[in-house]
Amino acid sequence: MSRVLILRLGTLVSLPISLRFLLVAPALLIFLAISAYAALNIGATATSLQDALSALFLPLDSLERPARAIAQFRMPRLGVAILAGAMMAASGYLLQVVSRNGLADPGILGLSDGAALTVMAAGFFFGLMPGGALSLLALGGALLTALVVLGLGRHLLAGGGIILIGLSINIVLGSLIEMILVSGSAMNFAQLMNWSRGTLAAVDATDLGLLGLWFALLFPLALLTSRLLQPMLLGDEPAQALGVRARLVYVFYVLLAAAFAAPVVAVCGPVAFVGLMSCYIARRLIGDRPTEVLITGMLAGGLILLWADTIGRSLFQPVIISAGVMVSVVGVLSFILAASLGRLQSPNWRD
Amino acid sequence: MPNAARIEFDRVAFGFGRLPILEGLSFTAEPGEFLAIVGPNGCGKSTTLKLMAGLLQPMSGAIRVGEQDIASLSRKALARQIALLTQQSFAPPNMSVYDLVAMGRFAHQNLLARRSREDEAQIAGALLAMQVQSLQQRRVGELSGGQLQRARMAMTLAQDSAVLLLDEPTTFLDLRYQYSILERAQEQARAGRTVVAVLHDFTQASLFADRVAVMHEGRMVQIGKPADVLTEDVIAEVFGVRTRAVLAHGAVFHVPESQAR
Repeated sequence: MSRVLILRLGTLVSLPISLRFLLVAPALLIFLAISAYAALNIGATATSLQDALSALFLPLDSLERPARAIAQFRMPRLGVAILAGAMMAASGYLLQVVSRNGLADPGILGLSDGAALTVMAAGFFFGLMPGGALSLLALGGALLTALVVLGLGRHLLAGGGIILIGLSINIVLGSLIEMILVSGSAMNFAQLMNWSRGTLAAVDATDLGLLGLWFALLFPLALLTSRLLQPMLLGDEPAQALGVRARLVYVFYVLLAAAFAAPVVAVCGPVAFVGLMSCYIARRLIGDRPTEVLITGMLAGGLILLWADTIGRSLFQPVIISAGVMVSVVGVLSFILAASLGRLQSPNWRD
Repeated sequence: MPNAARIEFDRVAFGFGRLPILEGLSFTAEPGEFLAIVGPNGCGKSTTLKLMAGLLQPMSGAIRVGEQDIASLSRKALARQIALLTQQSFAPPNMSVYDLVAMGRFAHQNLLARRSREDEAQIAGALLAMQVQSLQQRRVGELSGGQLQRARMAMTLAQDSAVLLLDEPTTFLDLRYQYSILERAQEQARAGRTVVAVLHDFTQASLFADRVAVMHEGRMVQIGKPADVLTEDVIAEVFGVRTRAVLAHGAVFHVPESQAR
């Protein structure tokens, strides 16, 4: 097991950090930077290093093709992919901790479908809407679903009972979404269908700004409260005995998870599976040290969605495969691999 | 050394819905004392411990630690006064034993000071007391049942509370670890803590506890010195089993009458 360093600043700050995290997190960060650079240059339009650099550092107006294409399309798309992956991972991990179930994610608990349903219903009734309004609608849908799940599952909070409730809600929401899909007009249908699979094809700089804003709001909140996560791994009563207000913490984290997932769904559809996968990887890399797993999982989530999108839009050109589909393909493959290596016991925290 | 504090139950009643579990329960446990609670399944032993730890709220009556009503204490302040070793908990398999024990310090920490020198000293003391220092870098998932229970007990000790509550601490352990856990609990009482443990074994209760409380159907039937309380009549009344009691080696043994030779 990994050794731990204590980061100290006088008596005010003393944070334990595992050596393992100090190795893994920077490595992922470097890999993410390399991947981001690669993703900027991969695509239908051939580009050079020169183009990527000028796209990064020069104002948009002074750019010509193909540098302009990089700045206008690929950069926002890349940023959205990384942020969306990270936020889905955060959402997934918070849910996994409070439900003590390594298979929980915003998809299984119905949060992402709740968000998706409100967005689709709005699109169905009112047509096209600005991104900001959509993300608020999604947040409303996700929070409402979270409250319904919590409300119905309040007697089952201990243990994984909430997963069962979430799963049933998810099925109901899923069928409502299908109903909207099949009753939509032909033009609407293709658009909605594409979005409901999870895609980054249509994102722009506004979407990136929107996600960035949510991220800047939620990530510090998750980080500052993350010390509450560790005792929650033991279960409600043991956590309470240690001095944690477990019920309150439970509700807080489910709502925070909903808030993380909602803007992502609004921008690029329900890509919830990223949350499950990246946290599985992060837990294998770090162990049960929640703050560190949270950060590592978010890095992994960003990486996975970035590569899923990059491969999807470039591998089978001119056919573009949506990121959501790619994530599922990559995810299923990695799970089969993990299972065949006999390592699937660990997502389940029950002894 | 933790502050000393007595635990006092003052006519405490509790129930789930209309079903009463405890009725008018009154007793005290003093600093430096090891009090064992025994009784048949479903008599309210665990409920009594949970009430003491503030996991449940009494319907009427008051529970005091020191001179304070526990209902007036915040969850964190209560955890600094009273530590509870729960009957069971999830054991995160990929957590190190050190990290598990360190969680006992939760109520003493804040946002940015999660591992002070004081925390480290308390954790080291708890690891030492439960003889799990050599396991501290191991993963929880690799431990045997006995090792895990000692690690969980170390977590409870690291809480540095005046009162230590143990809910069936020896269940599922082999004989060696049963005695090891009870000896550690006794040491904590000798060091000035108030120790209350729910036990099932009369012999162990009589060996390690200073006083024994016998509960039956939500009431306290008897409380006193083990030899005075764990009598043939009390056992027959409470458990519905006729036994022959034997005093030997400072312990009380009960043998079912039908089997006694």
